[in-house]
Amino acid sequence: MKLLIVDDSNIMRRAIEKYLTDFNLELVGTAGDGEAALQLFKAHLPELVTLDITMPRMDGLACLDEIMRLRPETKVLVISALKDPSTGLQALRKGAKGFLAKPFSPEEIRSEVQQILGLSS
Amino acid sequence: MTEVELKAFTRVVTQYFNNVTGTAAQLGLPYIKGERQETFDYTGVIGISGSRKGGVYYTAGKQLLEALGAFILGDEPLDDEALYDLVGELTNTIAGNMREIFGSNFLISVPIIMKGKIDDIVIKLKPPVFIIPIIWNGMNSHLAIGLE
Amino acid sequence: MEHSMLDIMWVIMAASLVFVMQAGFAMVESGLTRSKNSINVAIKNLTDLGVSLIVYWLVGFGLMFGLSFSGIFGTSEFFFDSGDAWPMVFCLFQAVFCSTAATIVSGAVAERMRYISYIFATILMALVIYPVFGHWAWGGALQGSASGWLAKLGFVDFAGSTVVHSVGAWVALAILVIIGPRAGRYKSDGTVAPLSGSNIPMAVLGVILLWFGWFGFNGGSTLAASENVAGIILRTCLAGAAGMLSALLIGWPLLKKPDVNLVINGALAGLVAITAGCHAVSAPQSILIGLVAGVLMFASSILLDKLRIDDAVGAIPVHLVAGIWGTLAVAIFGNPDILGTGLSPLEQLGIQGLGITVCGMWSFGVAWLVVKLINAITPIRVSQIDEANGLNKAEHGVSTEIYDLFSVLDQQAKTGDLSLRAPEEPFTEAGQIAGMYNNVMSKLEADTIAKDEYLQILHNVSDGLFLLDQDGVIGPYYAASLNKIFETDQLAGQKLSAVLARFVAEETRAVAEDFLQSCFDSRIAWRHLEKMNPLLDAMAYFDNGQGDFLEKNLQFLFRRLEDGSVVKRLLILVRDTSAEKNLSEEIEKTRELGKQEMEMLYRVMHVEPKTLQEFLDGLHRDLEAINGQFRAGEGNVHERLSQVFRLTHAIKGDAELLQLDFIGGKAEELENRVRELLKVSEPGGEEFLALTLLYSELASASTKLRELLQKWTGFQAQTQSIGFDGYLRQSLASMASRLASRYNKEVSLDASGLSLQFLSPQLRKPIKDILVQFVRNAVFHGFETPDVRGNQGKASAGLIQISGLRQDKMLVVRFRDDGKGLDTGALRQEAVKRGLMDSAKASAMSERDALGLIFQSGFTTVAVADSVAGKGIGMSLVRSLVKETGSSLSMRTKKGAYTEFVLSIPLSGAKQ
Repeated sequence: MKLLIVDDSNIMRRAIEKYLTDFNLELVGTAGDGEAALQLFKAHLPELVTLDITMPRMDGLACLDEIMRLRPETKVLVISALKDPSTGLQALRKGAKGFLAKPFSPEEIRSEVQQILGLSS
Repeated sequence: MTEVELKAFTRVVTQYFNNVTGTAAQLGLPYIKGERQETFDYTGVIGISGSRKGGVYYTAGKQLLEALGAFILGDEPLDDEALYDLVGELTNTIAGNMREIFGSNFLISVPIIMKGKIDDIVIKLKPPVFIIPIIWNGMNSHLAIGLE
Repeated sequence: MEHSMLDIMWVIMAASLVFVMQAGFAMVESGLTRSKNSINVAIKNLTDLGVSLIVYWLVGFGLMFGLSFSGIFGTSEFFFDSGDAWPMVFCLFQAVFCSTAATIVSGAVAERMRYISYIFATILMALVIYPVFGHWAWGGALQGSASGWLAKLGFVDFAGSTVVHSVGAWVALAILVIIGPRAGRYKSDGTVAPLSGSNIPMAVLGVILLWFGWFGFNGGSTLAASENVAGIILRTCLAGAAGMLSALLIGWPLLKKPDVNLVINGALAGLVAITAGCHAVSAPQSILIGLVAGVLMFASSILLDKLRIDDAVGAIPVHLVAGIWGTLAVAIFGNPDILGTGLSPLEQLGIQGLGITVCGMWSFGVAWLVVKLINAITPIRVSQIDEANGLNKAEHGVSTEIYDLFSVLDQQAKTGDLSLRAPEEPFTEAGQIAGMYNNVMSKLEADTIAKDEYLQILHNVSDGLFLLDQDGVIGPYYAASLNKIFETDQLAGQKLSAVLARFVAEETRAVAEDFLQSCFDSRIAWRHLEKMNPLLDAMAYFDNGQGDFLEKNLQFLFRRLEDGSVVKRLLILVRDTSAEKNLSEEIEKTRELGKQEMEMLYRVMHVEPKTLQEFLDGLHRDLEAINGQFRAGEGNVHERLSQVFRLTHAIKGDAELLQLDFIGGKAEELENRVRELLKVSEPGGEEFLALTLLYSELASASTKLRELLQKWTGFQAQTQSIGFDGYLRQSLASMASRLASRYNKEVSLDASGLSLQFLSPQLRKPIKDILVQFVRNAVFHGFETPDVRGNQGKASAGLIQISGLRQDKMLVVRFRDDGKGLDTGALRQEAVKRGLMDSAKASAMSERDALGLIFQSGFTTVAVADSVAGKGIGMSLVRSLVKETGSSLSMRTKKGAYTEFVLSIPLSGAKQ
């Protein structure tokens, strides 16, 4: 299964990649903004995407719209510092399969991904 | 600013450290920022608009960021670029988490990150600017809040 | 040599088949070239047939098959005629061979060679080049014994791989080298532009005709209806097929597509290659020959492009390269018995190579020299303009309707001129298309002019005007100003709600989305909906990428565009009202500020300006000192709090002295909070937050007051009239009476003997602060209520006397009240109660030490504290001020009579 990691922080990208090593996902790329993310998404059509919201150029919610338009069955996990319920709801309504608030622990993200992929924990 | 809001800010920061490292940060005695610039090695600034106006910045020393980075990435080495990144992410997380208190109309900008002593960051912050010292594992850092 | 009627019939038929190849060539060549040249290519094919037939009959045939002169050329049979059937058939057969060689040239040099030049080239070919080399290889065939010098050496070229195909191609190559590539074929970056064929299906039919003609070309070269014919024709077919397959197999993966040329020229290459040895090889060998020919054709066509030799149809790879290969293959695969040369295969290969080399030197050499010469006299190439316009038009003045249509479309694409119309040739398909096209253009032109005007408006209107369709998508044409208002480009085709989400707060966006949906619901009355516009005054926030936001006030106005009862679109107008909004807010703010300032001014008006200035300076210092205590990262928290407590208390005192309640009140709030905190054993950062907040309010009140004071510079003038002393006396007196009335006491204050005016402001303030505390102390603790005083025979109003006396370098200030004096017994009891000492020690304490208790921080005898007293802070502040100024303080008291403080201040300056 192919994975795309989107976050404007390089550290977070590396952290997410590291925390998800055990899932044996094929990392097709990482992006620091929504536009770069879409390029990668179109090129590789990953099944799983982790998506930050606050990013330069194109933000995560706009990027999510595009991803859902291109391939609605994509499993998107939104990972954002925006903790207000409205943002989370918006992400889910747009088609995200999960919402994880920053900061998170390795266990939290692993469990969230497990849920999304439908793996029993 | 109200006491509740200030407390919410500080709680977000202490919880951040707790969540990421398992060790909560301690608060130092807060004070009002004067003429003096008080920043450490790396500073992330975020502009705030919408329901509140002004800005916040989080500033920390190299040592603290390296230690924090080690918690997130393990033994992978952190270059200067990564420390920039980390302080930006931290500021973003603090400001983003504050939406829980201030609501969805609390708009936060993409962070900008600066290094060394900086003179012009105050312009985003509306006085009085509250400086809250955050001590984690004996290392000092500041959260500065300046909202109308 | 006798020839049966069957032989004659077969050769006639073979000649007919070869003749058909002319049609094949014409179709391949004109099909593979562009339509603007197709007629020219076809005409050249027909022309070279006619010209070559005549010239060959006149001279060529004699040179080739006449009686040999030393094996070099023929010398008889010019203007050939004969009464016998066989020679006539032979001549016919050879003449169409010659035409084949000639026509190869036309395809290679197509699309640029002048028609007249081409005729010259054909004459040269049929007159000299072809017949002379033909004599070397085939001379004597008419007479029945080989007489050409090459043939005598053992050179074998059964049906003309070299004699016909290579000769034609060598001549083509010579012309190509001189004439150069077609315009636009090779780009400066080294890539090759494909100049697509006009009619590929016709080219394919041409190839099939050529293939069919080859039955006669090779099969007829036996010059007899022999048994060999069948095998020859089969092997010819196999080689052609193999050539096609191998070219396809190698070219398809490399070019990533089954290119048309691969199939066409692959087959032809296989056919050319088998021509030389088709009588002497086996069927499998013929396939091998074909396979190799296809590969060579592909490789050599790439090489040619690398050399920038622009062969329009691939004649060189097909006829020259495959021809050479076929000629060599005779030696490699040919059955020596059938070849009958008596040479070993290696010797045979040598002779074949010799023949090929000689052919090249002769054909290329003569053609190059002559064409070069002609080119010097008159250019063999058409002009650039003619080449661009096409040779159909330039050379023959003819055109194809489809080409005319293309020209107009091309012109239109280049110039954007919408007024151009295609020629409507009636009764042709192209003409009908042109007619329809013209109709479309007429309509479009009319609409475009209208649209142009509309776009002009959109480009210049300052408000953001656009249309929104039922899907909530922004229309393709919108006001240019909208880009600026929304800080985004390329809005056309985007969903408005998605665009709004970028800069409008979520709550507003959500309401706006509902509103937009309702706008398209015609059941909802517009008069209601109009009033619910959530974007009538919307805040927009644009992240400027520098950690900050650009804020705008936007006003959206909506109109429904209905078609019947259906709302088709919304017309939306967006205005950036930031400037107006800012202005009105500014005015409001100024008005509000003015009101606040007036109020504040009213409150401070009674204060003597210089005193106020000093108060503010002091306040500023104290506030800095307080923040300094917060800031000083280290040290005992309780001690720091105590300092803050004292400083705040002093501020409160000063503020009350000047009746600045708005500062005094804030100071008291802070003071109370500090007091609370002092009770907590280990106060942490969170508890301090509220403190910092109160402090910030106090500081901002101070800042406001200072700004106000700076504004009212008129204060300066007033400063002189009362003077500091007068003001100090006045304010102490009024403070005393205010405090007194609060506790239902009466007081009179006499400070006429006090002057501090000559002191430096640094010294004035602490002394004044000390006096303030004394007054507070006296009013609260010292004086009895008027009735008590009456009972004791005292005046109902308590008396405070303050005097100052200069002695040497000292100022001695005396403060005395006629109150009840200090009760040292009560002080001792309080000390025990507070756990400061046990009762034994308390009673043992000297009178002087007991009095000293009042200067301890937090010490008070009052049960309930208020803003004036009871917090045990006042006298401890006095103590630190005394210390700060380097003064000394003594006190005397008599129970029921008085309390007196004597303060001795050194004038040399306070020690810090």
